[in-house]
Amino acid sequence: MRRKTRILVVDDELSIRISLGDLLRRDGHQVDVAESAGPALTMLKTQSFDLLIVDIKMPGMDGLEMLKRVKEDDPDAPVVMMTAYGSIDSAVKAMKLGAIDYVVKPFDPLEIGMLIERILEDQIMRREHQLLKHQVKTCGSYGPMIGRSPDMLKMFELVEDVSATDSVVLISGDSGTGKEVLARAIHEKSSRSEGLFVGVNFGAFTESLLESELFGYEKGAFTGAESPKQGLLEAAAGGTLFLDEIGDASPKMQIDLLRVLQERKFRRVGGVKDVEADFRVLAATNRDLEQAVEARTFRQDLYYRLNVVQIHIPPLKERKEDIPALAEHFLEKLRVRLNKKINSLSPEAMQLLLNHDWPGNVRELENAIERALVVGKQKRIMPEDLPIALQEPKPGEAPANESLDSWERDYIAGKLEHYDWNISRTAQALEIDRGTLYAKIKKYGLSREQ
Amino acid sequence: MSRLVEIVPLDIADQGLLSALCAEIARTFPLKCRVGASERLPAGTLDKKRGQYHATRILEHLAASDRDAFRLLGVTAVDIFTPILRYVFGEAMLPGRAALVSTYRLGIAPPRGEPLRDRSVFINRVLKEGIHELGHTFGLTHCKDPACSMAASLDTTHIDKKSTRLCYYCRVMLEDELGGM
Repeated sequence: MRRKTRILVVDDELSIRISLGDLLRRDGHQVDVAESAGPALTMLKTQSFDLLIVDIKMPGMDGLEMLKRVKEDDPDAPVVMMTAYGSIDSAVKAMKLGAIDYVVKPFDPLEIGMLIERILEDQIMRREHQLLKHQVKTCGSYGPMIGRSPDMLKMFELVEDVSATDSVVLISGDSGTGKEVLARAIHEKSSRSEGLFVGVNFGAFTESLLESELFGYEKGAFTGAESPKQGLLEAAAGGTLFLDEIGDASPKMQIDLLRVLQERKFRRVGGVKDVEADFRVLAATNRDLEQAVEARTFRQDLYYRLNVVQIHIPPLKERKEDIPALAEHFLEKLRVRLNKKINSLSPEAMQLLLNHDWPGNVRELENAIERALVVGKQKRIMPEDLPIALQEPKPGEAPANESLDSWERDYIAGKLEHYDWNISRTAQALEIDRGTLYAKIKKYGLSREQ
Repeated sequence: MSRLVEIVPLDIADQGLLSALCAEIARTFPLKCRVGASERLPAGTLDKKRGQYHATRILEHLAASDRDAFRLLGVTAVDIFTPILRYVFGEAMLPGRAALVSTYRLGIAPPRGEPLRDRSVFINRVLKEGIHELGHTFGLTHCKDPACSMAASLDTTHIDKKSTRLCYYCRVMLEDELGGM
């Protein structure tokens, strides 16, 4: 399986929490427990679970009331109710409130084993379907890596160096920093750019689906394998294989990948013939793999194989000077796609972008610009067009005037250069008068020689 | 503590079965195995209401034992349970020192004079479940390969389908675990 399935067990009896938790862990699931509805509902505010198993009879808020509240927040939440006092009445109530099933304690091992397997398979299929839909929607939205902060300039140099080689590269960085964009950039610059860039996300799919997708299969390898199929490893021949979210690979998949990297060959599922692995490997993770190796959730031998060259993409909050260029890039890209006439950001809107910490990184910035383009009514993006999270000032934080000044200086310098230092045309483009432009040139010490 | 697996007979006297289990453990795991001195089921582990023995409590008793083996596999003929299940074939710490297997629901040893076939089915089931529970003590979780000994044993038909062997992946993970010890 991809990441471990997360299950929340809610029961007031300690022995049930322990024995049910142990039972589920032996199946390889990650289990959290709560002794009553209150703490469980608090956990659900910040964490997501693939399955909730809730006792009906609990002191305080009972299981049925908890089920009602869970369903109000998330109608699709999969909940199985359990009780030691089986009655038709409570079973009907639970099912009417949206429970998937209702089981009587103690469980029959076969019955509970098959029930949980069925529910989790449904869940995984639903998530895979959503992910595929999302991938189709976002396909082709990749752009160039943008940045002129010292960290990014250093990173670009490293990218140039590694692109010329066939070395394995491990790209690290928080979610939304652009790890796949960077991987594509390395592929495009490499001698393998004529081949395909094949990406596979280990955080999203079941182990069995990943295995057949990656390695392909021979006819009759499993039920439904009616004809042989080429896997992604074969499709990547001559090109680049991008292993995204590699920190989420299951222990079994880690063993398979290690074998491919060591022996440079693999077999289709159900196959007997070796296939040459003729691709370059790039991997990405938002996890601390060194820590995962220490915690023994990631194989040390695989880590060494992947960590030949490591490139770290810094989070956006550590390179705020890149925000103006990124914002303009997204504005230009998205206004064409959305067919909008908005062509710039107001200084106040830019100030808000510079003040924000961007926990979702570049992806969050792109989403904010897209939102502003969709709702904006003027020729410029105004502060009120941006998401509310950006508009709320952070307590005790002074506005980033320095960053804004730096952005304005670069922006004016760019326009002056564009109009070959023609003051009238530059002032017109900036929608300011010539006097103001002269004042800005003086303030920032701009000169043609720079 | 020596890297030895010790079988702890708990109110069970089937020496043939215990020896076969010990030999199979030594074949499957890169470890030595011996059948230790038998003992009575620990006091306070019988749930009179259910008429069954509490597997988790027996495990706790085994784990606290001063025997010098680094893994202890209790074998008993009584019916065992955990609070959430009606019965279990076995139970183990994940990971931990102690594992337990019950022969109660794995078929009955045939009376004298009966054909050996039934006895061999019974013995095979015990071997598979013993290996399976011991595998859990090394952190191995249930395996999707139905032929692997670590496949979940939801009923005896599941047990009969699997072998006493660990699949390639479970073997690698076991070696990792033993290498890190």
